[in-house]
Amino acid sequence: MEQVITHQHPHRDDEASKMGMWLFLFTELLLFGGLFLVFSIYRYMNQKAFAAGGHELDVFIGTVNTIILITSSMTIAVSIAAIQQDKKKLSISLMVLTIFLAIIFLINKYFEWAHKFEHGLAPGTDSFLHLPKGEALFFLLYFFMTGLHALHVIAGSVFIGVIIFKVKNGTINSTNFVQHENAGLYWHLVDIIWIFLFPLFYLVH
Amino acid sequence: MEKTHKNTLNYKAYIFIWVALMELTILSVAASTVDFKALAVGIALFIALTKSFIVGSYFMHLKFDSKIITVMVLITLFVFLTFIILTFVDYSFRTSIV
Repeated sequence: MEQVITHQHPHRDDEASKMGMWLFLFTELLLFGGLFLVFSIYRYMNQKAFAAGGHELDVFIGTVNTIILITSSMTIAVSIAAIQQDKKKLSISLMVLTIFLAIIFLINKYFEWAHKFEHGLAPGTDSFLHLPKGEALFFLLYFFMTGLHALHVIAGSVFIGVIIFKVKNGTINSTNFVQHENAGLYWHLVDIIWIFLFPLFYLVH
Repeated sequence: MEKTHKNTLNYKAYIFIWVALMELTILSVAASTVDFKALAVGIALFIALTKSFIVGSYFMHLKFDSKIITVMVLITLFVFLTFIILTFVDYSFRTSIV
């Protein structure tokens, strides 16, 4: 029996697969970590300008987006628990819900950015060039960090989309779900990054 | 197959964790309406770190997976902490910044 299983999956090693995913997450962590460090230093050097910049951001939209992302983190976690118990339909519905929440997050982000652009806060425009230096730095970091985060939201949604497809065709099932777990790990990392972006940009003035 | 089900939290536990994260989010928004002056950043970061710890331990299964992954996470955080400390020490002792 043991031999048959070994023969079916000659190269399968779930723990190594997960560890590989974690190694990738560490590089993401340091990528955003570096940006957080840049933010901290400039904040330390331009405290008044950063406080003024923070006041321009809409705490309400930020809070809504935080709630959306944390909820989506919960739905992907439960979808993994569901596939482990062989509840394929529940698992797929929860992943669809996760992607749906991600899209709402991005729509909110779009309106938030559009609103800033209308107020002349688009990097590269004349009005942006005339901002005080500290505020320009704040908004450059705001657009860059939330933009990079939004790209991660899109990438995570695509990753989850692939998992939905694989659960549907049975490649991922109750005995082989490490890819599903890895997609979940990526999604939780995106959530953790937002957990730090939100207070630093929106709340601390 | 035994291993397959060992690491599973039940749905209720995930919902409980979600409620805890929601409460911490509300707490951090509420804290931002009070003027804590210099402590504000520290309070916001403390709440964010607590939330990340919960997400990491339960949603990302660090509490249930092999301990080697937790060790790897701690090493990465230690490296990052070193960057933070060295950079701030550098900036704190510079005399000629704008």
